[in-house]
Amino acid sequence: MSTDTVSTCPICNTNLVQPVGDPNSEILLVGSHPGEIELKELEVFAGWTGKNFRRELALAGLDFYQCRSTNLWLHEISKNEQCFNFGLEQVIKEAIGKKLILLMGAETVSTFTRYKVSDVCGLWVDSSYFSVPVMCMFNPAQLTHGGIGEIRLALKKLVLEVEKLG
Amino acid sequence: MNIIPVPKILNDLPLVASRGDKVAIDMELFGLDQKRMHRPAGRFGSLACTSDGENVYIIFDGREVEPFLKNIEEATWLFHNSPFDLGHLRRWTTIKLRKRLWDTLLIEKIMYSGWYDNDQMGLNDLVRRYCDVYLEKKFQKEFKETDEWTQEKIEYAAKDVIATWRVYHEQRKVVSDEDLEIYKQIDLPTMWLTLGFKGVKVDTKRWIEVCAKSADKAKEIKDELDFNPGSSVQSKEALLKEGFHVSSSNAKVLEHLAKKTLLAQQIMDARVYTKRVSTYGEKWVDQFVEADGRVYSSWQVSEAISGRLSSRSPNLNNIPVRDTPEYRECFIAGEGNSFVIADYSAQEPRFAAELSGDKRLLEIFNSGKDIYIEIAREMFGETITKSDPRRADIKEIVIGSCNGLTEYGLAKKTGKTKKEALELLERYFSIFPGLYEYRENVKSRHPKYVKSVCGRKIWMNSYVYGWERVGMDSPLQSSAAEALKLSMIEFVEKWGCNPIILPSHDELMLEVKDEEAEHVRDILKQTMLDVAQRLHPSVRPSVSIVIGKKWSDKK
Repeated sequence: MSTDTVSTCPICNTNLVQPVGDPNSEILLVGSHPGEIELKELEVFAGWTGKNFRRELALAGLDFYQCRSTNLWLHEISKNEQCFNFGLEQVIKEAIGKKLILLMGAETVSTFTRYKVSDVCGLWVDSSYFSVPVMCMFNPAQLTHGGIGEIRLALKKLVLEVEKLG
Repeated sequence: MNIIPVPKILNDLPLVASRGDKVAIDMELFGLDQKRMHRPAGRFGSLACTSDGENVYIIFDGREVEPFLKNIEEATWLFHNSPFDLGHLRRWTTIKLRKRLWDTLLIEKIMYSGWYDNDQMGLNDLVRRYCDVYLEKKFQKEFKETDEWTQEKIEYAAKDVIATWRVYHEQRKVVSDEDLEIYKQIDLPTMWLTLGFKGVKVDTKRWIEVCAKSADKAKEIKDELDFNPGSSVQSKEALLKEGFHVSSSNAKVLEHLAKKTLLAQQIMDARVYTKRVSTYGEKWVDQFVEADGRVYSSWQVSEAISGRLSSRSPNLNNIPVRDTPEYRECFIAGEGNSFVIADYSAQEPRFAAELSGDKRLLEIFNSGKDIYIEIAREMFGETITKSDPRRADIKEIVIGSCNGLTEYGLAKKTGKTKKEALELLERYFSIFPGLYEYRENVKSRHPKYVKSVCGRKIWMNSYVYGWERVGMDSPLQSSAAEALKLSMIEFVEKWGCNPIILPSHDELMLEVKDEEAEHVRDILKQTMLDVAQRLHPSVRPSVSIVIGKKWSDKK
């Protein structure tokens, strides 16, 4: 099952931000949480950060829509642990059959791995949740307030592996 | 995930190295104060080195430091953050200035300033980026907590040195000749100089008086108010009573309101003085003034994106100047000594004239006249005096236009409306079309990086708001920083020893014997002028210099 069949959160009944891209893609991109525009349009990576991220992905040589993209949080962040777990389960479902997974942002990386994102940005890391190693990266929001290098490097390393998939 | 495998660890002195060998070195200390790691505190933990990236020699006795380093004397030493290791190693042996030294941190900052953030320059970050290796740093904390060695801690120390060795070999592949020149000619010699900075003597009695004065001022203002100005909620309520409904009581809002109501100014003042007391109170003295009555800062050779020297623990570049100038009176020369304090005048605008080649601006700088009065003549079509308030406005524009000044910033600094400030800025750039064109060129070229006059790169990120201003101003700031560094290096070469105690922005403060002060003043001034003339050959340099007993003697 993929999350695009679920339109509201079964826990709090809030509208869900939907994953985008080819569900059959071998690549899964996992962001942290939706921003204002994503919440309005109910689509992941629809906002400014998403736009910048898509541009960076294209510069690295990967079309955003060739990948499947989702978020750890599928609605606004809340204190409800069950909502968080629902999002987590959806990511795990989305990951089935994927060969390459990119985790973005502090919470996403620390949820699915035992590391801090700043320690493993640009590295392939094992995750007990997935059957394949995951690439870790800072939240693309960092593009607008810091150096661009870490994100460029992580995406470059991701695309190198994509190329190996053929 | 890749990790560094446990290397072969030999509890022994290293083999004698030859010239051409590259030896990575790393030391560990126990019980360091994490906030003041540059101070000669902490107990010797270990000193490790590797010359092949596989075998690590390690010692655990400080008495062996001297023979350890003697064996590798001929080699090129590789460090990550050399001031830390060298500063502490000198507690156990004499270490002379050497050119055969590679600091992976300094090199990385020269190569990637602005590309990677400053907090992503640790050894673990570099080995992650260059070698795809995860370097566990959790044992770092244990060195503070206990002096006991465990096998894991020994392996940690050994892996650190392997990581440094590996990073060096990767950096060597990508570093450009131009970056290496900046390292060899500017940043490495500056690093050695900062290691030799004597602390600055502080008149603690006077400091506490100044602090009490700040506390009195804060109390005086608070007593006049019938609410707590530190509380945002109460401040907003008080402003509402005066007829000003605001959603926030932050500094920006208050600055705006200050033109309309005294209350806003009072809230701001109370907060400023309260902050002064908390930041520069008696606690500051207890924390930073050492037994010899001096303050020793940790100097970072190129912490800022521009490569400017910076200061930490305490930050001596942040000592209040404008609202509480008395703090500078507390920095005093030692018995029988004087300060020689020099600074470059309008250094960044001079680089702006040099890099833009604007004819009129060059003429003004080279006329030897007061540049602000001359620029005012161009802008207003009349001659103003030094005391004319418009001169201060022009000064804000000239200096500020090299430091990201917007109409908002100018309005705030000069008390003008945004419209008036914008008009002033537009008029300024209209009389210097070459300068305007230079700045517009940066925008339109959309460069990956900009460069200082010495070739230091500052990487741009066009996703960041205001990147254009960073692109326009960074070459000026970076060039000015290089002028100051080169002045220090060349002065110390001429004088033969290092009396520098404080570089602050475009200013250098030296402490010398009274009888040497005039001689030092003359040499320093000439050195600074020579350096500046070399870096901006089209523009006449200007250095002001005084001899005094207190930092505040330089107005």
